[in-house]
Amino acid sequence: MPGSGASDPSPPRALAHPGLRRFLRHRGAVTGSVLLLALIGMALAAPWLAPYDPILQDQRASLRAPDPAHLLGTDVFGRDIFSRVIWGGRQSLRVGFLAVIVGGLAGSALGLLAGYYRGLTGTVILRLTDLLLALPGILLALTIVAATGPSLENLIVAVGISSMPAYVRVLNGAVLDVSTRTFIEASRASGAADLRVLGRHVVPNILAPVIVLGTLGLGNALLIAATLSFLGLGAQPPTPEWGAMLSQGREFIFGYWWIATFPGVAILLAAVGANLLGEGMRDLLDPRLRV
Amino acid sequence: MARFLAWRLAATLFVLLGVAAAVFTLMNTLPGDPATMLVSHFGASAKDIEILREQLGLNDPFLVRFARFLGGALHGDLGKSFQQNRPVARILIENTWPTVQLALVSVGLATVLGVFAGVAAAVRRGRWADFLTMLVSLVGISMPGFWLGLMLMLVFAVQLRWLPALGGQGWSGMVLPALTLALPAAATVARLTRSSMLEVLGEDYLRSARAKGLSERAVIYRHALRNALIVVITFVGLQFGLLLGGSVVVESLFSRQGLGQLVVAAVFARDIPIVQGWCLLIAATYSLVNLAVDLSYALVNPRIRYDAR
Repeated sequence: MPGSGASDPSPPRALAHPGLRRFLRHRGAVTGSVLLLALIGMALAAPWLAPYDPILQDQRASLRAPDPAHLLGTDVFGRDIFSRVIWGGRQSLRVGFLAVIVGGLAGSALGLLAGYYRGLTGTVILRLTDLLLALPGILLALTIVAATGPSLENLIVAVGISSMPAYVRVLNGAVLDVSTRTFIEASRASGAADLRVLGRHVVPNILAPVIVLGTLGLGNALLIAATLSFLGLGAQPPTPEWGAMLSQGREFIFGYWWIATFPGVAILLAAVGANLLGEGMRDLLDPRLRV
Repeated sequence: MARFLAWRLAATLFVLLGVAAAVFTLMNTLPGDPATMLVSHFGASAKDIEILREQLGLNDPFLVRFARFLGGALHGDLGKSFQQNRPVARILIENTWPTVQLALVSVGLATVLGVFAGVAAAVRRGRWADFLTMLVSLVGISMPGFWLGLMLMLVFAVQLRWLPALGGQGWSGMVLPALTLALPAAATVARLTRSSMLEVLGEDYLRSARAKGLSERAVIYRHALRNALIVVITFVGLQFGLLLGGSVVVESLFSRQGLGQLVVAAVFARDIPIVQGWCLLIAATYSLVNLAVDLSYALVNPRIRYDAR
């Protein structure tokens, strides 16, 4: 509001876009995105930031406690944990983001279809979603990865699939809500084809819940992916990945605390960032959404 | 009420049928032949493996095997474990109690901790106690469960030596796994309780309760919390199912006997009957818990009735 600016000393006029300004005033959303961006930046700049090669083994430096030469210590193969955490961000964050995209796109598409075609198609999709919900997500992902073989790509698909039900449910509801509005009826009456109605009128009206679910789901995706990697179903050695690094940490928990500690801190920071950003987006875009 | 129950039970049966079909298909399309995996380290010949496949019924057509599995399941016969050559149902029963014990203790802990923290935060909205509770619970929901377990192990088993790290028996062995499961769940319960308390705290009937001279504690716990609990109950119910799933990781981490450790081993060993039986058991529990949750709404809030009208 231009008039109320007199007593308000803050935001610079250049950031005129009201949405962006509201975002920047939301402390949680800003903290979350700063955290995430910092971690992404760290992962992207790994070749310049990491002091050591993350894969090269050095038996003489095996199992060193944190000291100035190795800030976070070394693992049993003498690899620098700090360097591996930095490089590991590339894998872990990539898996998290891609899983959200895979699950979000597939789940949203199914939710759209179910909401728009309420007959047989909708029923089948919703009942299949109930099935997915009747199994714990972790076991679903576990079985899919076991079936397709352990690799980061399969991990992405598995985590994506296990995150689908939320999108299907929420989008189905949102479409049901939107499609009773008059402008949809008008569009149909004027002879628009189904796809056109969906693309032009329904999709723009339900973007908010998708964005909110996606950012909220990122934290969860990061955690499930780390868990499966921990069980040996994700990144294979010697690839540095946070969850996989922790399974070595478990073996050496007696006496070598640093191996099990720091990769977990990295996961924690990433998930805190994702959750803060997600909750911020919910407050800003769709405050009534309950997941 | 009776009609509602019958309808829900029928729906549950349908879900179970679907789960059976889905898991059966998934497990039977896995690459890796169970018979080969079973005897490969004995140096069995191709002919031996063929005989074993015949014995295990792996050579029959897919639909025949599925029909046999379903038929057995309806009589409570879930087949025999490939690895242990014993009835799956018995193996599952043997492993159920430790896991249920763990889940019950964890759900109890999570609910008590979470509800109190949530109420405490809500009545001090905007003050430092509220901020601190929310910060701790944010960390709680952002932690990988197994990492929390590792850290608890590090502090209480390795450093302080108060509790056993792996495979402890009795109550001392229960503490760390239960905390590992309960703390993240408590974080979510605290957040839910807080937000649903905040919604309730503004209601008129609370002003009336205060006006008639009730103590603040009675207002909060007897009137506000009771109405705020409905959201929380849903979640606690769902959580019970999630914790059964979470036991997969925690039991493996702490080398604790139970359904979770059983199924992880079975997935890796391609012990299909065990995995199938486990999935059915979990899905059935999950559905029944959900039903119980729906019914408990009526207890907390008498305005909800499941009668025809």
